[in-house]
Amino acid sequence: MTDTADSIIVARNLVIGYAGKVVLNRINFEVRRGEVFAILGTSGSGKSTLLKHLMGLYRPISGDVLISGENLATAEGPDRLRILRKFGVMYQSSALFGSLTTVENVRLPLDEFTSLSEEAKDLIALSKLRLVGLESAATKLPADLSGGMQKRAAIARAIVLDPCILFLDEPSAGLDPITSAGLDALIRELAKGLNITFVMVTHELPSIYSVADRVIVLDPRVRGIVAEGAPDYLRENAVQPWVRHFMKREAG
Amino acid sequence: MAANQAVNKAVRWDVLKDSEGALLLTLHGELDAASTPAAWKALEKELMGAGVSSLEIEASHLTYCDSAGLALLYYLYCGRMTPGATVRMSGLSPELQNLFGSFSMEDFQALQDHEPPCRSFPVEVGAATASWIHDLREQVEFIGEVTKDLAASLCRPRLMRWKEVLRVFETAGVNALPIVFLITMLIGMVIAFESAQPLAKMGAQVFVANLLGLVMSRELGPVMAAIMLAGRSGSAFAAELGTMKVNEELNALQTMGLSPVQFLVVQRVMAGILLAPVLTMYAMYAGLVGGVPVLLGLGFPLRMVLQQIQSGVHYGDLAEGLCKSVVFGTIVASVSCLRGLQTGDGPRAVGDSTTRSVVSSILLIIVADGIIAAITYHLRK
Repeated sequence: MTDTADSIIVARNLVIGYAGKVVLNRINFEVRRGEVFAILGTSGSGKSTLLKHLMGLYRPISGDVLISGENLATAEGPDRLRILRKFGVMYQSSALFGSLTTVENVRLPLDEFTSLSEEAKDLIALSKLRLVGLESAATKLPADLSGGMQKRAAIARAIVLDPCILFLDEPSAGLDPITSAGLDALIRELAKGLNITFVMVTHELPSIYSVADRVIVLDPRVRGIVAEGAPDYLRENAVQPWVRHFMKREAG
Repeated sequence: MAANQAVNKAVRWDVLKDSEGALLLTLHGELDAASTPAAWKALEKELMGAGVSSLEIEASHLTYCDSAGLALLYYLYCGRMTPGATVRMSGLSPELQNLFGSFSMEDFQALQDHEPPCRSFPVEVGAATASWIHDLREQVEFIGEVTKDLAASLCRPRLMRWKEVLRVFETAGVNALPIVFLITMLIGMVIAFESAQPLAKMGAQVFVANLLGLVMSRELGPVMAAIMLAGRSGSAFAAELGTMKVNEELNALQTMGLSPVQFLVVQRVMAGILLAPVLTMYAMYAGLVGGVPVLLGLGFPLRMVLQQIQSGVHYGDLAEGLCKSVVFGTIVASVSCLRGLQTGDGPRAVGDSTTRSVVSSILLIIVADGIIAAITYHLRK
């Protein structure tokens, strides 16, 4: 695989794991600027672990994670912080702070990382809430929001600093199909409107067909990537039969 | 009038104002989260009170603009820096125009006008009283439920999960031995030192041993063991049950038809009742281990010190200490479990219930100690 100028994330010979155990061995892939990229695989295949390495929560055993050409795997101090500031993250559990209202949750990164005036911070936070359709819930506490609304609020918080890359960990987990479809539509809209690159881990096949431009499929048996491409293409043309079964949601 | 302002390298602007107060503001460069705060202040200072009748914002020369920059443009566009003036804006790229559309002055105004509900003093007092009565009622119900389930478990020991009792016994008891020893030994040492001097003035220094024996067996042994049980293990009970409540594990038990009290609390209360006397005996001896070397250092032979302790401390004193410890153990285990079960929602609630468990346990230990002291005083008369 060659790095192209179009790639915003490049994983090169990446070996990742924890406690001395290799989970994924020498994997290579790239994520193109502005696309919605999904990481797929069975339970225990290392999807979430890979995502955590891409977003810099863990350091790889070896290999490089290049973010716009800068190596996150070896970056230290201010360089590392500068790379991390390009990211927004939405966690599976939404991870909203229960003691803060929705607008305060969204404002929090602005309070911490900018010296903007109070008016500017409120305006920006409210504009992000409006983008995700939550402007009427600004003063509610997370406990008063439904699961889908919490996910939307988490996305608003993740995009408040205008990140280049948004990582989504199981965005549709625990949502009903209609709310989940609404969230997919929102992701599509944001990807198109804000020019953000989305990297998501998900089990929800309808979500993948609906939003993902490209996917990689991880296989725990080979501890690596077994398929890469557009989801519709892989459903019919993946080399491994189990990948085709997986993409068709058939027992393989 | 023409002006050229450069707040920093990233952004600058030209201001062109005619005699009728119409102002053309042309922005150049990068308007982002780093450059916007200074630009905001400078523009506010420049435009407020400048008698602007109409403002035209020209944004086509901006090479970069993020949400912070758009917030400034929107603020200008709404006339917040030029009250009364008509404002027009041009030159935003279609993408930025899209984002610009997500800003809303109505939302902003609604947020500014939103005031958190504030209750009057009488309402606060009423709510606190109602909450106190509710809490008291819950405590009484809880005591009843624990007593009933404990009695049922004792009548039919098969019902009790003895493995869990042993686990709690180990974590709350065996693992606490080093800290209980260290603290009560030091307290024994301090009491011996502190009492040696005043008793020496009366020529009664040898009675330090009697004092030490009595204090450790009747008062400080049980109280210190109970306080350490509350701080170390009671808080753990509350945090454990509180986390289970937050994770909806208690709801899961209830939907399976299991009572959280029967399944989780009874074992801990049983362990507390059995554990407290053991820890108390241990604390009593640790106190003596700390105090005796002080007496040896004062020149008294070991045999004499031991004789003094034996003559000063009777079985009744030991029995009083152990009875107290059973009461304290029951209080600590049951109050901590109650606080754990009362945990609200969210991680902060677990911290709150842990704090409440320690505070309530220690308060009740001291209250119970006072009541027992008064009863034993009258019994001895």
